[in-house]
Amino acid sequence: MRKQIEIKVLIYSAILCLWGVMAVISTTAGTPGYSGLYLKQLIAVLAGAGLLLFLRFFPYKVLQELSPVFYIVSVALLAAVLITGVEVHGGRRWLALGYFYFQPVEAAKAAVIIFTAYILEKRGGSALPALPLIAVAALVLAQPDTGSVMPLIPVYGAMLALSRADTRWMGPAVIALLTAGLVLLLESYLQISADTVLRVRYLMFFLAFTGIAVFLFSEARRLNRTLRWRSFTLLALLIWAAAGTGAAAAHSLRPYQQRRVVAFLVPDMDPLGAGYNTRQSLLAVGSGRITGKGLFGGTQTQLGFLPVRHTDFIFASVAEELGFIGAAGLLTVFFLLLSQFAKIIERTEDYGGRLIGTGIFTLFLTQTAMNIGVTLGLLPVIGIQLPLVSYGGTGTVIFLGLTGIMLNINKRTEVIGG
Amino acid sequence: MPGKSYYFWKDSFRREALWFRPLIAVLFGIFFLRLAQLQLVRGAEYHRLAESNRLQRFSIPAPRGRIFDRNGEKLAGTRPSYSLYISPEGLESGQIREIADKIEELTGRKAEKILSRFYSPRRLPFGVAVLASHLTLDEILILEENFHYLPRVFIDVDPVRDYPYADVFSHITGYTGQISPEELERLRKFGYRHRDRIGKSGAEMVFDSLLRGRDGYREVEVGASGRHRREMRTVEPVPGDDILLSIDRDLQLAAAEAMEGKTGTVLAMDPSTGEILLWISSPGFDPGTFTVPRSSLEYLELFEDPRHPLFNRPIQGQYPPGSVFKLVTAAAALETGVPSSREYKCEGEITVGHDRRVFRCWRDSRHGKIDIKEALADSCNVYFYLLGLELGPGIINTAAREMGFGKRGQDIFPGEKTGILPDPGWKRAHIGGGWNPGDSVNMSVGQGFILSTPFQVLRMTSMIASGGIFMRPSMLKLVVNPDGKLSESHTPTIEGSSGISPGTLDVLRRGMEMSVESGTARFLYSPVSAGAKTGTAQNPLGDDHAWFATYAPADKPEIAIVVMVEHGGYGAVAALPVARRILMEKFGDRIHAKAD
Repeated sequence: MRKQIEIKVLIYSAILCLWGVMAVISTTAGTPGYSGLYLKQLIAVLAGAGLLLFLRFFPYKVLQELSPVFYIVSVALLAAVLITGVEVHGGRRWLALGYFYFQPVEAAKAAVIIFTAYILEKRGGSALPALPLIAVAALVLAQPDTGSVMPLIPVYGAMLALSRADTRWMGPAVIALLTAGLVLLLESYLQISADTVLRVRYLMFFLAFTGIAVFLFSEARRLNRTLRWRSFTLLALLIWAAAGTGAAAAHSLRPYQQRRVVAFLVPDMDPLGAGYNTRQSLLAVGSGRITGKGLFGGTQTQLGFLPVRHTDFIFASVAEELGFIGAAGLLTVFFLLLSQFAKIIERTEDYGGRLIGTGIFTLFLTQTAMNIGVTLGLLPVIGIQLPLVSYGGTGTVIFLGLTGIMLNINKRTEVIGG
Repeated sequence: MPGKSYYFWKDSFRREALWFRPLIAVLFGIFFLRLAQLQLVRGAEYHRLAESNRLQRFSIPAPRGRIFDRNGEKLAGTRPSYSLYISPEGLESGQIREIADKIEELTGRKAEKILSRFYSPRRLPFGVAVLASHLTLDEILILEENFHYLPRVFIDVDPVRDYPYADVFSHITGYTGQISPEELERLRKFGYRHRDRIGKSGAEMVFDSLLRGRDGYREVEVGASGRHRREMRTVEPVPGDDILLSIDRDLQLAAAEAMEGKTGTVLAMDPSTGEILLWISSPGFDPGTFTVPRSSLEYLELFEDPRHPLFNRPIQGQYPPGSVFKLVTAAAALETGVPSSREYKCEGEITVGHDRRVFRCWRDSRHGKIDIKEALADSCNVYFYLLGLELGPGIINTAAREMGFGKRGQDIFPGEKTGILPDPGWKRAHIGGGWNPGDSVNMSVGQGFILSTPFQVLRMTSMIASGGIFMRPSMLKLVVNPDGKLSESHTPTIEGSSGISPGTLDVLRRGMEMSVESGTARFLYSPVSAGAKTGTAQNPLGDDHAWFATYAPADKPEIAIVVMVEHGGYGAVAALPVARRILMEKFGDRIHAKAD
């Protein structure tokens, strides 16, 4: 079983990496100045494969013990990038290392996962383990690179949820976050469209919903006396407060920011503005139809309509050139790889190993889901790599390294579990 | 290892970790469905959108057909116009300013104007902007010499409409302009597109569907940045058809020369075919004004000119016909049984009605006892006053309608007026009061409330000359395809015959011929025999309008002419010489033939 899992993981990640190199070749071939990129990607894959093999054999427990050092180094690198980083598109994200550029945030993600697992196992609690994340988030947001830290929030949430820490507060927190986010979206939309009818309708919906909730709760309470009005009231207050916060945040946004938030809801509203990327991505994906336009044949990809097609929108390019068959195939490989990761976590009995595994699994899953969600117009545009496939040396090396750690955890499952 | 809590934790962890696989199953399920929706369900739609994203169509305008006169002389054509363009790609921000300044230095065209054109949002494909249009030859030479100072600037040629005779044929050819939103609304289903040029008046408008041809296009694959361009296919434009009009350039030029400085109308028609030979509404305008962008002041001058050059006088001007209407009164009398030998005595004036109004003849020396032909020939007012009193408005109106008054007379140009044929009912409705004998007197000589267009007078003259036949007025003679083949030729058609009997028309013609021989039109000195009727119409706006209607040769008419000079005074003085000039142009060579 253990062996089977390992072989599958190796095969799936190899497919993803090679598919990625192929996609980078296709997306950069027609763009002068991008011609050498696939070589860099290939070198990164080879380096990552080396790291994978190394970590496959290097005990993750030792890694966990060393994690404070990794963490401090990666924070130092993040600080360094703020000072001496290469500026591209108004953000400092890279450190120049000769032929290569190093993206410290990718390494920091790995360090945060392992260090958080370390704290959770050593000290427990739910506030202290959040510190590594908060420090890294602060430094990354200063670059500014919001997209890169976002996946760390669900990573931390998942690790905490599966830890021994008291997590009863997490349910309400997730509800509050979702409410605030939803209201932020709706309010931004209303601010732009000035749709008073919709505004009235959604206020009424909110009131009606509260009323129904109160009714249901009182009915439930009649059946089960142990339900407390106090906790229900607190929850209701929390939701109202979250909604208020969301609304306030929407109103404090500048119009162009509101437009960007809304653009993914209605990409056609502003085809050349904020919705441009989503629209071009949808055109690329949709026009690929069943069999695609052929490698190097995608008009959206090859003529430059698809933005950052070798990184953030590489999946759209695959969908355009290889069609539903190709895109669904790529999705399937991701699904299979993540299933193997989930299996490893289920089979692991070591606390630290489960925490690290959960972190790695969630990071993989979140980045994949966010990237593909953006490409398919299900999420607003967030710049984020598709693990192992997108162009990006640091990310590829780190994700292969994390896969190596997963294999190491897998290797030890039955030994520890007995 | 703490035993109990360890197992509790272990179980809870197991339980929660078991959510992972269902979670990814649901998430990837959503992605699969979305992918299927985009690629399988809506794939065709997105494919079409992606195609229009990549392919741009650039229209290639079809060369507009030319307009010729009946002998193949060009009245409207196309000439090249040179414009200065810039393709600003790769240009640095400050450079356009330098370029504009350099152009001002070289040509004197204002740099500000050039810059404002550059920054105007209306750009051509690939961001190309027009900096200056309608370059003169001198400008082209000096610009080409200095092209190394003008990066990414080039000169290109566009076809523009050219009217070699400026204002002479203005109301015949009309002019072209950019299609208006209303026209587009109406014509979209015929393939007209935004920014098309379209005929706005005259033949340009009426025959636009023949002249315009069909635009072609170039389909170009264009990348997002515009840097990538690849020609995919070209559909060549189909040039418009050339048309030959029935207009005779030489007659028109001669008439225009004779009308120089005068306001009014000159029309001529072939009575045997209905073909219009000349059509002057004076003053005219230069149709080229609308082709070459002029200053708004020049447009204003044209639109605000008190003599209304854009007004199509032959069909839109309504005037009292004056004495040319005596032909109608005479016909009315003869048709109701008054013998052509009926004589009245002209004492120079008559007194009519209870208020004893006095109506005078134009000649103080009195005509004495005359018959109807003599009265026509010398245009005796008193004779027709007495006829009018005898006939009354009803009978005169019936004859007038038979002879083409009170209704539209052609279907070539739109906007035609019908004039007014007054009767007691009309007077009650529009003026008030009853019909007085004085109104009949006025009407008998084409004065008072009656109004007619010059075209109506032309139709009447032509009908009399042709012996009672109304030919359908036409201006289009031939249509020639771009490959030189004749695609359509006009055949004269009879519209109908007037209800006036041949005997009556004989009398009218005799009277008109006597007018040329010895009457009011005796100074016509036509090179061939002719019949004519003069008119001098009083009007409340100023000096009398001068009318002259004629046909020639008398025995077998080839041309009917109407001249109308606004406020020209006597018809025989102001209008007759114009008709004479046309007759000389047309029949001048027959004098020599006769001398031989």
